Amino acid sequence: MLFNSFEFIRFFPIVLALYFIMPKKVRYIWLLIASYYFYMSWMPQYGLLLFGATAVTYGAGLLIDKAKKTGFKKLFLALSVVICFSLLFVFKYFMFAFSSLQMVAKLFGSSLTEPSFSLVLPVGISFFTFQAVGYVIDVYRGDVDAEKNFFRYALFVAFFPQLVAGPIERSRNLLKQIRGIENLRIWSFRQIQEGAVVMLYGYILKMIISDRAKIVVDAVFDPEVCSDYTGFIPAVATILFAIQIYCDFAGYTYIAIGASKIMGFDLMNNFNTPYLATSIRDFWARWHISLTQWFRDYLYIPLGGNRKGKFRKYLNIFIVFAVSGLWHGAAWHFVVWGVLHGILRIADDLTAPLRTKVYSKIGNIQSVSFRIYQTLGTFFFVCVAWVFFRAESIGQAFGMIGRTFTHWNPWVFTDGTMFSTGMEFKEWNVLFVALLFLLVCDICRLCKVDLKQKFLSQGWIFKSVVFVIGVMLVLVFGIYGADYDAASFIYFQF
Amino acid sequence: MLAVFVILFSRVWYVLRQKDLCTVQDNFRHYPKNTAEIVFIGQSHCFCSVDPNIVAEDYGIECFMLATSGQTVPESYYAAMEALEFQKPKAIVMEVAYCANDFRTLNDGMTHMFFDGMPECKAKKLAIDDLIEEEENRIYFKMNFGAYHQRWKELTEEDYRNYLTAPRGEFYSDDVFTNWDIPLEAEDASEPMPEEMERYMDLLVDLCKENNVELILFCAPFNSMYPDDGIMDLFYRQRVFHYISDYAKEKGVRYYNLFDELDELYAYGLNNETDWKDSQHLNRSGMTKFTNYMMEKGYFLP
Repeated sequence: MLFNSFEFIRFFPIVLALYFIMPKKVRYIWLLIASYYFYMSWMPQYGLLLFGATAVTYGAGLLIDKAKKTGFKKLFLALSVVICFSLLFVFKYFMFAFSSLQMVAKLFGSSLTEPSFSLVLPVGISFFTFQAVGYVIDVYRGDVDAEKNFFRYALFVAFFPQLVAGPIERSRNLLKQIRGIENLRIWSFRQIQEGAVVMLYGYILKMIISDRAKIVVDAVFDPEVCSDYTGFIPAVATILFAIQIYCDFAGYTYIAIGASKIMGFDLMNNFNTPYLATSIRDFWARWHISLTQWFRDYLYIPLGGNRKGKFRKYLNIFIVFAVSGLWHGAAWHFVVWGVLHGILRIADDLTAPLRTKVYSKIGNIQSVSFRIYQTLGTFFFVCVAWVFFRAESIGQAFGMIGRTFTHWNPWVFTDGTMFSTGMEFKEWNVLFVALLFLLVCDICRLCKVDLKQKFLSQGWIFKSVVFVIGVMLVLVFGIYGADYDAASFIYFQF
Repeated sequence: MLAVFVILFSRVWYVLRQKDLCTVQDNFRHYPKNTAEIVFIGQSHCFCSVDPNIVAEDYGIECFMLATSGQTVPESYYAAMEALEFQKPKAIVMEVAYCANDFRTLNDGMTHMFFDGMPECKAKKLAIDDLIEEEENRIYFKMNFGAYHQRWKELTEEDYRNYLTAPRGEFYSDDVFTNWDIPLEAEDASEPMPEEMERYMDLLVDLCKENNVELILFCAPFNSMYPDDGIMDLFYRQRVFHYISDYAKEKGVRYYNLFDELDELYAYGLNNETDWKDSQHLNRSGMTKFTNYMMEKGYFLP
């Protein structure tokens, strides 16, 4: 079920209404039923997969908690992690591994028999697997107590707002709230308003900006015709993809956070103005924060982090980014995207002292202009990496980057060529205005100006009118409807 | 807040809606309940041939035109059902040109023309569930905002104007087209209407019987699309119209095939030079003559 579907518009108010009037003690059962309905409305049989991952990690949590010897704790941890990642491997990476082996076999003049089955990638499998595995590791480390109530734990893994595209919640945040669900504050008008405003912001990002940018991105990145586009067209399409994926993923997250807020839950923030980052390191502290933290706590630190010398530190960074690339998709171009970020992150670290020295000699590194320069530079490298993410193969990505930098054709902005990429002039205007709005919101956030709280502290007439206008803008300018193939959230496939 | 939303939404929805010929039924929503003696159903041939204002004002029979562009036989069945929910007519008059088409719906645009102005009623719900095969598309007929919101790019002055200007669902065209002589198929040539269309005609006959409403069928004359093209199609349709004659007799329903009365119509004043808006539809002048002819003959009288 998509957040931007009529099904969700029907589903959420019903869930909410019953949640509000339900006796406190059974609220979590109701949310669990709703969450499984939400997940199974897409493909019912994959509810079993969600249940399987839940059962394995729940059992492992209890066994680790009860085991007295560290060896047993390690064994139960290892078993549950292996089972969960095996499920992930089978459903997400098996075909990728097979085709990679096939390529290697071809090099040696041999071939492998094609498997006779094909699997549909379960929506959100990487998210709930990581969340469940994170819980087992937390129990193993003694960071949280094992949850005794299976249904409460099942709700932690399946909580519908963040089930299929995050944020990847930590047990010490979400599970803690589920344990105290009876005491959660609901029926708070302020809280409902806040949740509704955050949801609306998410819908604006997703339906007005992301899905509009997608029109041009899909047209220009189409492997059949991408070679027709050169110079500024693939450059603009790449920038639009950067915007698309940000607004898509952040939009989903805001809808999830807002929906949870209305129900009294606080989900972690997943984005903090990532395109205003001043370095690659800064970018990853702002982009998909829950995944970055997951990798830091459960992969980077166990690998040794920065405790084993510089070489190991950079090797660990490299490994984390390569795995992160693979997490995003079972294809080599995702791995290249991850590796590229790893290299940029290491280069960023290595050159930082030199750059600081040079920049401070040239000018004032505290100035706004210098910050803008750093932001634009970071954005440039992030965009180049996005090409590998969006392209359907490494070859296509290199081709597009090559055609971008080897052609000079600024006239495409004035001779109408830019409008031949699937989006007409009026649509560009809407996108442009919406992007200005996004930029203002992000700059305010960067400057610690809380627009949401400022808005919520206004009079109710003003708030009502502005909110309703916002809803109408989404309804009119959002991309949806009969003549449009409802765009799924990009991160569902991860 | 809800009030602000409802007011703003209804206004924006009104402006964004497709208004080209598909607002006829909006007038039905505002038409006084239980006043129509006749309700007309069918497709464009019906609303281009019959002027409900002449029927009401010159002959004293209050009526409403529920025909819409491209209204298929199944849609006509649901239009009759809709009419019976809001009115207690003595007769439902159906133009049968689309009995020769084997379509449950024509295309999205035409289907919206049928559903968009339809008031919320049982017939609408049943029709959407029955005729819109893809379940995920039904929502766009129940809440058509999703189908029209992207019209913001093409809004004109017309879109902001009040379109409730046809109290009886009337439609007029003053275009003039010089038509050529209508070729006629042999009188004894007959071909059954498509099975699915006959099934809905049966349902319509039963619906009218159950509600003690007389069903009157008629077929307004029309020409092929082009002088040299479409003649075979026209002949096929005429053969189906001949079949409907037998069908109507069997069901005990009155039926008037005006292809059989072309000479009389021309003698009454129908003129190929002045009375057509295109080769298949009458203009205002032709509609006036045709309506008067039908009323004077008593064909539409319940």
